[in-house]
Amino acid sequence: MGRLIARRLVFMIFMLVGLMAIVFAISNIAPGDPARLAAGPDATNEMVEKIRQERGLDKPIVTRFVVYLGNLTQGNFGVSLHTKRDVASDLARYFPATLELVLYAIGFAVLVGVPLGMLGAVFQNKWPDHWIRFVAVSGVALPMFWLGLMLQWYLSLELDLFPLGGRLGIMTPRPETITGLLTVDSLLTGDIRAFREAVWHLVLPSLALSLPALASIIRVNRAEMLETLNKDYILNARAQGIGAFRIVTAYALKNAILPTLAMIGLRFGWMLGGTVLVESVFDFPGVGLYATKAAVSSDFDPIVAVTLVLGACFMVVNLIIDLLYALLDPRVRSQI
Amino acid sequence: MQPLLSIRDLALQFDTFDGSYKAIDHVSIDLNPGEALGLVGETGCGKSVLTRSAFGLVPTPPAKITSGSVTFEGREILGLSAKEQRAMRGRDVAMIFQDPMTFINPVFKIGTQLVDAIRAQRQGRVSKREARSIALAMLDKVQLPNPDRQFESYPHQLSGGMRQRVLIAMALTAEPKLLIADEPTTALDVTIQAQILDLIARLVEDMGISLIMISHDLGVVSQVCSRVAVMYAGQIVEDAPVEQVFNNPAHPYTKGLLAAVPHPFKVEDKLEGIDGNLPNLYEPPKGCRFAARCGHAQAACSVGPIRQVTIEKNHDVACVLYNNQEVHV
Amino acid sequence: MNLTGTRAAPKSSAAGEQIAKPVDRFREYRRMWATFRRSYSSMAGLVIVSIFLIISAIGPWIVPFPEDALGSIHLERKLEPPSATHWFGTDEVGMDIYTRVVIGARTTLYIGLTITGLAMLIGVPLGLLAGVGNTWLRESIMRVTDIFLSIPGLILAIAIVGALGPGILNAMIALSLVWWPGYVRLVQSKALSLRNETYVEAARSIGASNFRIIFMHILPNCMSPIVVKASMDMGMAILGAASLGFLGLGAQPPYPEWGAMISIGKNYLPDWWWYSLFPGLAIYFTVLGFNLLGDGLRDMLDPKQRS
Repeated sequence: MGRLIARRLVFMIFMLVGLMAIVFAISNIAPGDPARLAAGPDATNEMVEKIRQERGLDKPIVTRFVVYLGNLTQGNFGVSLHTKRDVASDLARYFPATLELVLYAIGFAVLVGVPLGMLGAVFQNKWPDHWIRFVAVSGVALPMFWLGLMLQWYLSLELDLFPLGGRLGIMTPRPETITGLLTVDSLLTGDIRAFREAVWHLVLPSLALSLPALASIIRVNRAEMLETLNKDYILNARAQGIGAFRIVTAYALKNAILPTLAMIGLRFGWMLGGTVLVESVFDFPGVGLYATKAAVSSDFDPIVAVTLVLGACFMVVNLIIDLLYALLDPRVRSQI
Repeated sequence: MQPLLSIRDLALQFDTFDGSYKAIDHVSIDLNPGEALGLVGETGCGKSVLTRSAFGLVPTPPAKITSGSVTFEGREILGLSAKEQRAMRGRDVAMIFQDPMTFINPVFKIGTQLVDAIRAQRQGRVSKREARSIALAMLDKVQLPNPDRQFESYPHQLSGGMRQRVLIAMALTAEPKLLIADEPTTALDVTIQAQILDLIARLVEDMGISLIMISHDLGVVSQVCSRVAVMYAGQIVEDAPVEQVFNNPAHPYTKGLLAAVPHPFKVEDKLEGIDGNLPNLYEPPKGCRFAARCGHAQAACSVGPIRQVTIEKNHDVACVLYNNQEVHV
Repeated sequence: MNLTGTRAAPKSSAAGEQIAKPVDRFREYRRMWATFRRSYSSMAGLVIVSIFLIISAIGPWIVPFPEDALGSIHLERKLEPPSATHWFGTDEVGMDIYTRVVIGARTTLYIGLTITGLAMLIGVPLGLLAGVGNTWLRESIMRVTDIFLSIPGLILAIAIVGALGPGILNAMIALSLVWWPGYVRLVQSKALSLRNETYVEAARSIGASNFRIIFMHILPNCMSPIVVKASMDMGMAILGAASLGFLGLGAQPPYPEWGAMISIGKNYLPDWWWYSLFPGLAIYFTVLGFNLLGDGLRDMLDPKQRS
């Protein structure tokens, strides 16, 4: 098992380098002169040239790429034009927020989606199944940002049940930063008020973010359960008189969950992309909002950094999924 | 003596997009206690469906039982609730199936599945530890080498023959009155086949279990069973002790089956097949479903249901050719 | 309660079909259509997509306020709630939202087709090359594809738009670049499995050129999964474009694009809720329609494929 992890980590590094190459390539097709952009609209030509030389923007592209890689490995992600800070420190500030949001969203999607998929399979074509399938099909079609807005409008502005945005109320001080995840930090420091507020602020954004994933997980799990329930070994279990509950929740689910896991991994990736939308709507200070603001002002370093970070995140999650696969399916374990 | 299992006039059809597939056509057959009955027929003749439907293992949409009754130890079992049917399975009747690869859950250990089955069979009245020792004892009885180690193994780590032994063990821990073996050796190597058949024959005799063995292979059935029922396209065409089937086959289909098997010692010029194809069971012919392929077909064959006629002791055949040879025993 | 699932018709149906008439193609199409027709959701999808296509086609001629399509200012009727004259209300410069939503359908169709089309144009040939070519070619193409697939789609799109600058054309380019890897994977795996089919070997043995083999044997058999994926992708592409529009990176106002409209409408919640509600509903129904249609097509053409 350890060998598998090591091999995958090495592979991941190669993929990351490839990713950096692609992102770097993209950043260089940008029309417009990066030196002039960095210098600002009032700069004279000499000032622009000076900045160009300072930043090595006049060197050939391969050299620049190598320099760029070097910078990255040292933690230098450049400087953000719109926040005027190190991109690295911006990332450190904003990434935990996104991570917290995504974790709650994916947690919700899995904990609700898997059982609903199971229920849909067991009650196939009866009315609970129709409702479940409706949610499953709709969830993927609803625009996440629009859902967020509608939730905001109704549950926050109209009914005043939830806060409008942000991570904490304006008057609430942040708990001491241990992990960066507000819910965890507040629990660890015993700050119940901050905990409650953090949770309350997370409800609407995670709900909006989780819906497409929830829908997909329901669909895949339901389909896999249906197919598994048709399998011969289920017939055998029934022939032995084993009870329905154990058959569905153990014998069938453990087999059906494997392709569902793959979908969870895929959906996690989409969710990372979705943070851009949800953070915009709820003014949630995460990397998604950061990247959007950067894109609007053609501020390129942050976009690159966020792309790399989220790409790496996705790769790590896929690795975890593969490990889970091996854990759950003994046949895969034998092949390692 | 009351038969253990009695199927009377059972008819079953599958309602599908293409129409109603009339899989079983008014079949009647009895099984006596302690008997070993072989149910023989080609793929698709309904032999599996017959036994499964008797015990509620055929999902009732799309299947539909349109007539008949099934009694087990005198008790009518067709109308039982799902819960009662489940209670019967694994206690009174146990089944072993064809392909051990697909019939064992690949993601659970053998031992876990055995323990689950044993606890279900005894309705949870045994502890896990007791179930484990029962399982190990049975694994030993089916001659699985290294039962302790296999208990902790996963199905894909065992060979085909070993998996089939596990399935047999699973079925027999129930100490059932009836064992239904559905093509238990079809998926196994020929060398292992003999071993498994031998094992089944011995266990069935040791434990005093009645047996129905389903197969398309007369040879397999003859090794284990004392009586053979031949099925064709959802109808039972002949029912006789095994020696009679071989020495004195009555129904033209049975004769055709026997003639098609090459003799191990006689050199023959060519094999005799049976001309024609299976009938279309969405619109089955009236009367004998074999009539279209039968060299001796007459007008009477296609008129109405063919009566089962006893031509000698324990030897019944459903064929109009023998109507005048009926004896009454 | 369903514990064993609905088993298909008995295993003996193969034998039953043996003596039935040889299955002719016409019957096959009729059966596929009957399967499709039986499914309420697939038919609903077909209806929705048809309505969408019709609206896109005749939109400019049926709207009550055609001059509002690209921008006109009627401040005297700004931000009016839904009424008999303005079914969806008006926006902050007085334009009729219903008109703009309907015109937006055409924009949306154009965007969806372009993105999906471009993605297929890049992805399918690469997939064929990867599936049919030698190992080195396949490995290099698949590695690049994998890298593209390791970035969450919307993030990559934002990165590309960030580089190229906001605008609807750039948004479409960006989204095509996000979607083509999916086609490469699909076509590559199908082509790879097909190249070992006996009829391909047979063709090769009689001297058919690679080109001919690809076009006459492999590509036609890839068409079903491609069609299914394309119809599913239409919905996703529309969502992607609307998302970029919402962020201000796609269509720019006063372009009548649904996402851009919602983006502006956001500022007018909650009092003038109609501004955001109706374009969003339009997106929802359109994407829903394409998804249902795609599902139906998949069940009909290629039941083993699962996205």
